[in-house]
Amino acid sequence: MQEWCTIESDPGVFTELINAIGVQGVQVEEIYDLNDEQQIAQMQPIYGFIFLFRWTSKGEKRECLKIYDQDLFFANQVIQNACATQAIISILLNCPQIEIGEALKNYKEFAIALDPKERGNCLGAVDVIKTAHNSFARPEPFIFSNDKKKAKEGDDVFHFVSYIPFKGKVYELDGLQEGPILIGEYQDDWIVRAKEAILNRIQHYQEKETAFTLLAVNQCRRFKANKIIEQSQNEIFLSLKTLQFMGVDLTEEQKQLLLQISNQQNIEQELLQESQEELLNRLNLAKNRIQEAQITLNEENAKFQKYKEENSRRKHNYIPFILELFKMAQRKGQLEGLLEKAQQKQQQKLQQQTKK
Amino acid sequence: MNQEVNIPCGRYEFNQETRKVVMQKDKGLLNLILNDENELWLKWYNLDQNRRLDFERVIFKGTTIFEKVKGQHRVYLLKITDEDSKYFFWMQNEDVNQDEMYIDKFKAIVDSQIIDNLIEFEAQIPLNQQQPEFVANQNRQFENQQLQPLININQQQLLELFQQQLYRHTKQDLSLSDILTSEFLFSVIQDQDYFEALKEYLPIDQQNIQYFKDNLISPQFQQALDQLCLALKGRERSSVLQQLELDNSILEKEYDGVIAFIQAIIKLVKEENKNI
Repeated sequence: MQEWCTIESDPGVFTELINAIGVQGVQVEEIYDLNDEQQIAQMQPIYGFIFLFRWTSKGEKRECLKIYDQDLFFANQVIQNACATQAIISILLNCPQIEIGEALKNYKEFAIALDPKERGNCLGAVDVIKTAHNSFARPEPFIFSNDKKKAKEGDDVFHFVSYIPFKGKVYELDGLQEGPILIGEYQDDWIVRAKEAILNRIQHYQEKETAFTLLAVNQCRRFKANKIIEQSQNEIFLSLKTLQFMGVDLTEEQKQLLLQISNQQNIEQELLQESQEELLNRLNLAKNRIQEAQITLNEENAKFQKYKEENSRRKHNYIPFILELFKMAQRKGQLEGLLEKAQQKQQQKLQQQTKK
Repeated sequence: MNQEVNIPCGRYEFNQETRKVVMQKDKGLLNLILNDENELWLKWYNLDQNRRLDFERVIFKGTTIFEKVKGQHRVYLLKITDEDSKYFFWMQNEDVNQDEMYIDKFKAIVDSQIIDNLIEFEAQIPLNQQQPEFVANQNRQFENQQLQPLININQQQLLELFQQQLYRHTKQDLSLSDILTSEFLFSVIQDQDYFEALKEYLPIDQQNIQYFKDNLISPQFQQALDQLCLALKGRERSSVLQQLELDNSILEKEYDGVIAFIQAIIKLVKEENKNI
């Protein structure tokens, strides 16, 4: 059976992975500062956090729940190298607002009756997920006779844990623990609660100088921007229609806009019960929202294009490219000179080190 | 995977005047490590002198014996058979019962060194007539024992290991990034000939001039370069050259995999030019 490969911990990788397994309207973004309220606000709605930290074999034992809400989906991590994907899936499966797609739906329906360990095992049998995960494996251009190198102490092996809101409580889901960990209850904003736990953790790892990263699984900003544009266009349409009904003379631009939007939208809606002033105000606000959303959309499109290019490079085998590059350097009579220069520089370095 | 053992023990030193091996009272730590490069490094640290490294050498599976000296309390002999070197240590850990455990671990690590295509030969322990008294006494004990054939060694492999260590020691450690300098890559980016030759090797959705530069400065390209470099520096560098359809016989004269790679490319292109 094909193994699960290690994949790079990158928001672009995780976002494409999520899309590849059929999930709609979700992305992964890196959080640089949990106290940056503006950044957090722009990411909303956030479905969950993923905390990555360098894993050691001396794992910490946490106080887990043995009895918990049966609707909360928790699975143990039993598949090597799958912890990133599993942490993401933990969030996706516990968030009813997300369109998780067929593959995850089927997996959840099947696995809900199993214990956490078996759920973790079953994940390995979901081809769509495994294929999507392994599609990000770095090419291994050489075949060696030795066994595959396994991660050892000192290697950069990262572990992933998730933080999610679920029915008024915040949980930490760590596949290496026995069960979910209850962080606490929340009223309106689960992030406040989760932030405390995460900041404690960050402080702990900062003291130990252990590398860590924090990611958010949130609504896709393009999806959100498109929704805002759609809703705002609807508001513009209604506002203009109502103004027209009231006998207000529309400008040419407004007439054009009305025509344009009415061609896009074919929904019969009731006119708005507002004054002319209120309608004009609504119109302006909607136009501004569309402008802002358009800017966000352009930025996000550029970002996703960059993700696409980077992911393409991640999957690409550069060895033939490198080989050809060196051959061209020789054809152009440059290679011997490059080698000589490099050797001379190395020699100088060695001499300087010896002097010291 | 690194394997390591630390044995609390003191050393004996050979006194030239008295021609005797004398116990040194300093507290010490004997460290044996088998590293990722398949090298066995033996070091002794003087703990009473601020963990000063007093002794360091490489040892090899098949030529290393580490065992208790009969008739002596907690004294152990490290013998390097192919050069007739002997080092005596005295155990300093509190629990006497742990002595053999340390030695077993030591031996297990030595045995873990990978040496392929083993051929047998019998060990000969040449007796030096000028041996210090203490050593001579020990050797008289060994004389009467039936010598076991030592563990098998491939001399070619040993030579390789020596070369590897000499090479590392002189630090002639060129990487591919040392050769493909940023200055050179910058000139490549601006060279249409390079682009025309290399575009088909770019990712399929990036085979245009706009992406040529992006790929050359990308972390993925650098990672691949590092990956190739690592492969060329590894034990299977001959296989790597073969898989790249380059002449791996160059490695018979050039130990450094990176330089051998460059030389193989130079050779290949020269041959291409001859055939044109």
